[in-house]
Amino acid sequence: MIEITNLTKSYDGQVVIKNCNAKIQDGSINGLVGENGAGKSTLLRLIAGVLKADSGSILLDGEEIFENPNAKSKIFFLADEPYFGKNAHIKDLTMLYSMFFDGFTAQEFKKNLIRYHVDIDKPLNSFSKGMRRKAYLAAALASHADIILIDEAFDGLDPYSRNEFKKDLIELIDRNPKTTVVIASHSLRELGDICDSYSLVDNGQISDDFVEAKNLHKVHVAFNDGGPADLSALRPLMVKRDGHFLVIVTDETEVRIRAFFSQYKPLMLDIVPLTVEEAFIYNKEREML
Amino acid sequence: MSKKYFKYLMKSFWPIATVYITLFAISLIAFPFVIDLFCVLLFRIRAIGFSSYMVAMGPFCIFLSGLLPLLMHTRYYSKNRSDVILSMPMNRSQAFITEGLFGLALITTLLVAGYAIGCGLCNALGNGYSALGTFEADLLGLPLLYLACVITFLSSTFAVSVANSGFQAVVMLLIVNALPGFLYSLVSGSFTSFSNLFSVFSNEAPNWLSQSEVFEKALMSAISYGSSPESLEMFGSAMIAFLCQFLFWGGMVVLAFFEFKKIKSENLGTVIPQRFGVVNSLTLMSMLSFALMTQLVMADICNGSSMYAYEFILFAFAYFLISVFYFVAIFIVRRKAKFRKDDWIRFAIAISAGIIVGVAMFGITRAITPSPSNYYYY
Repeated sequence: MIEITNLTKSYDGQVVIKNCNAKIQDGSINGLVGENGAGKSTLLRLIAGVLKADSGSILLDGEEIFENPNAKSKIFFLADEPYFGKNAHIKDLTMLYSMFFDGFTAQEFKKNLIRYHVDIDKPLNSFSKGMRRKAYLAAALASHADIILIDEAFDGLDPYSRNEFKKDLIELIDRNPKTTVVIASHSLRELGDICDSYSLVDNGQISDDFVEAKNLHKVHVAFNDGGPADLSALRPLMVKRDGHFLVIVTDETEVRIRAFFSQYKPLMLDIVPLTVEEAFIYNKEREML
Repeated sequence: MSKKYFKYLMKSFWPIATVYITLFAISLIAFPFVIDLFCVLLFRIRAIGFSSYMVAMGPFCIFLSGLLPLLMHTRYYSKNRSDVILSMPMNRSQAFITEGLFGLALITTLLVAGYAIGCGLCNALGNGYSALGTFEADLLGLPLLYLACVITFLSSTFAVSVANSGFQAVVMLLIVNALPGFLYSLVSGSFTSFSNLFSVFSNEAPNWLSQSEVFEKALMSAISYGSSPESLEMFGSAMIAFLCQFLFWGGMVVLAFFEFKKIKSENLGTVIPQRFGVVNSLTLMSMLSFALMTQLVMADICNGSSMYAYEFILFAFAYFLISVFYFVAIFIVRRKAKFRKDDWIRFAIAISAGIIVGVAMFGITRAITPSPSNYYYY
């Protein structure tokens, strides 16, 4: 388990991570979401031991990660734009990772690359952004590290490759139930398909399971006569009318929502959970209100 | 130190290291021939065979040692590279120590292999002199040169590693590179004088002077700055070495001031864009070589002679060759060098600035030279 306690990190006097606390359970896929510049990449770098925290601690199974080769040997970190040198080839990646990670298997890496249609003979700088990303993801999957941290996992990937990677990740967790994956991404729909939990990085703070914590509800409701004209009592974040149908997003409780609509005798009332993307957007809109 | 990381560096750097060593060896071979030809054609003097050759080659090697960390940092110490290397299972200090040791190994190989190949071929070609000058100068000078290179490399690595921004790094490089160049030139000049005097005493009066007296006289002569041409030469060479290094790194600071205003630095202190390292180095070297050559031409036109003429020639060519060296290295390593239009404009400005600086340097040299009798040719 990764335990983050009172973590603070600043750059040039600007606090990026502010007194954060979080726990990441073993054997799970965790989505790290947040706006641009919220501190997601910084948080991943801190967990990977690349950056030194100003204060606080990050423990992996009770061990401090920073400056601890033993703990770092269990963590595979894939940055948003890793740099391997101008003329680096796939063989250079294989050489680096197999030197440092005992569990890294060159054969599996090669197998992944072939499945992802990556040309293993060309230098990395001749690849497109998506192709390079696929090569790095193939390495991450072949690392067999206990903790896999991936920044911008789906950046540049085509829909087919996204799907393949998601399937591979789920398969990886099935095969190695102790493996923990943390993915920072703006592709919230993709995260929604694979993640067990989500953390929101916002204003230097992390909130666990923000989807549930924010208590947002999406309501599908239908009326004979178009329903109530005034919805202000529900403090809606989004209202969409389509004939007899009404869709609203609100942070009111389920009991209050049902109580409000029951007086208008709806033909149908359905309260559904929000997708990660919706939760993220409406949560932001609510903050801006 | 991390053995795994050292092995990785060895495997990833060997192509560029081979290119460097080969080019260094070629420079050592080509240097005397080109300078000699240049001097004979333009100034009707011969520059080869002087012990001060060593004094000129020293800053050339020190220069490479000082630039190596900068190039390593520009290529491998970027933020993204840190993401890769610093996430590997090793301590940060282990990574830096390994990189330092690797750099030292590279410098040792560069000097030893490059020097051995260069001198070996020089001698094989039958011109009878080694790249640093006399045999005594080689014996005394090579360990000294190696030490100066190691100190420069380590201090440069330290400067780049601890700096909080690229600008700071370059300012620190200015300090750590200019000083060893100056000290080396001064000390090696002393050694050269010592070795020359030793040869003279040994050959001409071995019977009536005891070895201790020889040593004492030689040492006293070497450390005293009288008005003899040799001590003037020694001090002049050291000053020129210092001036060149100072101008180069000083120019870097000025350019850094404009360049780094645009760049936000990561607190690892390792963000130096690749373009800065290579293109600006080339620009400044072009400026320096043209400044020194202009100084020479002016001296020849106005005086009919020039103080420390051969040192100027050697230094001008040293910096010119470094420029060529990096051009060739870029071409070989990258296969195709990509220079934009503004880079060529920058070079044109650098050459013009070099000519202006050269005229100014000539004026200063004339002003500070005590008497016309101190102008001489070798």
